[in-house]
Amino acid sequence: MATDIGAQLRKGVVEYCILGLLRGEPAYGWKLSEELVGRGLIASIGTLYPVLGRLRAQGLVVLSEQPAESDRPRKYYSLTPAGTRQLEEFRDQWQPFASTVSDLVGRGTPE
Amino acid sequence: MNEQSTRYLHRLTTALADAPADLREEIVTGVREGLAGLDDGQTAARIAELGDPAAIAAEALRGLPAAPERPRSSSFYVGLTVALLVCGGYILPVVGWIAALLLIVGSSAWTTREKKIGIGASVASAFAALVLLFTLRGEEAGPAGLALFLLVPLVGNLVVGFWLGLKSRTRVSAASAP
Repeated sequence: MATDIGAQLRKGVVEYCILGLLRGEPAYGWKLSEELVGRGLIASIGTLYPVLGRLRAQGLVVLSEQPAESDRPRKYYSLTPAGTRQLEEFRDQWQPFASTVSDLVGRGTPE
Repeated sequence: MNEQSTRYLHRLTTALADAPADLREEIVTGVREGLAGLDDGQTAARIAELGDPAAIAAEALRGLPAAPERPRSSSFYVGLTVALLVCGGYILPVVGWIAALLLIVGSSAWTTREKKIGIGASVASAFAALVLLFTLRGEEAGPAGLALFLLVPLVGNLVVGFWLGLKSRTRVSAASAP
């Protein structure tokens, strides 16, 4: 069975991409989903919520309610201090990691 | 919320019938927020963007850790929990009732909010029964206090059990709707 390389890569980084999206300001689920689906990082809004659930369980993200113009308050997700630290650690490791992988896979020569 | 949105949300709720209650509520709430305040044209475009509810549900279930959760929302599990909640304390004093509360906590049939309401109401009725027992002590009021001590938790837990059963059944019927 062929491995879906894109899916494997997305699976590995999507949690950190969500932390990155929440870095600037809190966001509600729909906005996060729109951004991630638009960038091809998740397949649908159905993928987002289990990931958000894991991030909440790990204490990296919290959910709060804010009043909205429409009928109900909207639920916003925001980074916790632990989430910010986790994002910083990932950022520190990602550049050298990506650079190493690019270096290795880019060196392949046809036989 | 226009009719298209209502229909779509109903289809989504039905498609997510097998998902844990908390996850289902989060997804449906998130989509509802995304559809709020849109006119008919914008709603149609956003629904097209969201895609088939069945695909959303499949993605959501795929994202869950391997699921030994399913039996903990089955009709048998719900029935056992409700029966134990109502009668457990009379068969095995205290222990039977606490076992029922633990079954509620461990179930995926109810949302966290529903569990808190159910357990809170059950604990409140037990507390009220104890207060009545101690308040109505003495030769004259004693038997009445004892009767209320036995009756109040029964009535309280019957109400809680009925409500929890109803919450669970509502989802089962939504899931089996065409």
